[in-house]
Amino acid sequence: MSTLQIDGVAKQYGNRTVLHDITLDLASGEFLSLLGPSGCGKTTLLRIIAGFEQPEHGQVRVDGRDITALPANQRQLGMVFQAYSLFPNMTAADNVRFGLRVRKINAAEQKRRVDTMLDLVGLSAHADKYPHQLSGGQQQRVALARALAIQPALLLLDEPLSALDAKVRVQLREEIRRIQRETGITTVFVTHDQEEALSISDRVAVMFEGRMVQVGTPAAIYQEPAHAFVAQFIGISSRLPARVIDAEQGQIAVLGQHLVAPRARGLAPQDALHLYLRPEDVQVHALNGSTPPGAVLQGTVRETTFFGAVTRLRVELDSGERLLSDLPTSAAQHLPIGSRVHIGWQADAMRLLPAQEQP
Amino acid sequence: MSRRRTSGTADAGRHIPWSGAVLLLVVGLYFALPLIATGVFSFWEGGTRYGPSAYISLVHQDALWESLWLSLRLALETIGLSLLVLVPAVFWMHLRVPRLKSLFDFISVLPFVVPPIVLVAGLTALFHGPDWFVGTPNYLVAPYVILALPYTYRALDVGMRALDLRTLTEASHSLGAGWGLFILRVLLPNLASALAGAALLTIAIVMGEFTFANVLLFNTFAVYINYIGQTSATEAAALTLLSFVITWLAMLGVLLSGRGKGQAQLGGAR
Repeated sequence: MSTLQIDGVAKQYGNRTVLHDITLDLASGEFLSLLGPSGCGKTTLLRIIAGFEQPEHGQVRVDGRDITALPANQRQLGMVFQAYSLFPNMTAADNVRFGLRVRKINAAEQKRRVDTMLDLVGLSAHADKYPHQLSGGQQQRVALARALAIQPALLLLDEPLSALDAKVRVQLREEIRRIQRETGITTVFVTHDQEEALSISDRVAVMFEGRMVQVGTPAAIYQEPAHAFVAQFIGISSRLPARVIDAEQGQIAVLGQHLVAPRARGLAPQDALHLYLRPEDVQVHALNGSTPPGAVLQGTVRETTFFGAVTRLRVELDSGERLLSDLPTSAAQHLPIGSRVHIGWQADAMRLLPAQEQP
Repeated sequence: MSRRRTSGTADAGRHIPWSGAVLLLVVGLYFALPLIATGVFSFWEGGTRYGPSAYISLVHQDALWESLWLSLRLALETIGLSLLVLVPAVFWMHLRVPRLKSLFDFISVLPFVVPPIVLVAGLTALFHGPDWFVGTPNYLVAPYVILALPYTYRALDVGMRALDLRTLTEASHSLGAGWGLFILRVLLPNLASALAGAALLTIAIVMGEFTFANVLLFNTFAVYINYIGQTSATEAAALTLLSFVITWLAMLGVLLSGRGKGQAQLGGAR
């Protein structure tokens, strides 16, 4: 098991900077996902770690050893690619054996490791099949076995599930996590799929426009977004304009209403903010003369979307802003389109971020 | 009902309409008749006698075998030099500078637009070198590489386009392999069909090439066929057929090699 340190790595293509001063530490045995939209620099960063790209600045260290200038074939890192990368002229077993033959490991040990790895990925019965005789999911499993067979210091996964259909993707991501836990290998997983990243990672590093905007546990990334991009990219949020009224007491103004927001304490007075609310945190009640406790704003239900146990309401506030609310379907049945409603939320459901931090 | 219709459609797809059959027959005769006539003529021994005397006579001519071996040797040398130059060049173009593909395409068709007689005149004026090269049939390898360029390049280009070279290269490097190991263990085996195609097309071209060899005064197989044609008509017909068979075998090899296991089939094929 190895550690990885990325220290101030920057990369440019011509005049375009694709990575800005990236610093990241991975503990031994950790599973970290690099998450972000296309073009955010996550694959470039992975390729720099793998040795396929050279950074303009910064260092990559494995177990404290600087490998920045080391060629890819001397880094002892296993990699699974987005595209199917098995050698078409070799069987599954020969593909797994390739890295071992390169290292001139003796035949008996080669056979033992090939058998172990194919067994680990559940493909022992397919050892003699050529890549074109395997499904996409099986090919990626073999690629994983091939990467692990060389007992690499790190495992690098470059969107290995993106070419697979949804069902296989879920199965294989769980399998990747199981194998990673069993082998204890330090892993960097690149994905643009937040569900994938949140479900299998120890930590998630969210990237945006070449910057690492937040690194944290999946729960922290979801519940405590530290950047406007994270708040909007991870899960679904509604955004409302807000302003700090009393930083000491933690008071903010939202669409003319003064609210107590513990997270506003310490912010500068008059700071323009954005208030983010998850649909599951937004409570909606029919407007029937009495004001329920916690109600803040009023609006009209404009759209309902049925998701089975939950129904999502799109509510247009009287001020013109829009909010999403997820209600149990049984409760949402009483709020058809056009219903006038009270809207409220718990104080700790509010995530506040500076308004100038636009994604 | 729908099954019957589907079945009927499939049957109709297999059935060749009479107009097509007539066209095929006419085209077939256009190709076959000269060959049949040449074959019949090659067995003519004068008057109404037919026999294998032309073939027997040819078999006993040392000059024929010398010219045949010379052409085969030149074909092998041409294949070797072509692949040595083109495999790395086309690989590098696909991997690192795909924007140069149109330039490669352009250069590869130049031998089609420059007549061989112009090429040979240019070669004679331009090439000066040691006697072992310029003074021997080895000199022919240079123009033959150029002559075979369109076919060799196309075969390699198609073969490499079928592979995800970048991913395969990086996968190989990530497993610890250097360039040499990658080329030997991954690239060349996956290009087997393309290499075989390029080689067999080159054999077909070199075996039939006349202009360069004749002008540069080398006695290759094609030059010998021409010589025999001027001295013995039936033996020339027999040699023409022999040459045709060699070319056909090479072409058949190209077709068969494209169907082999070595043909690259990347993921998701199932």
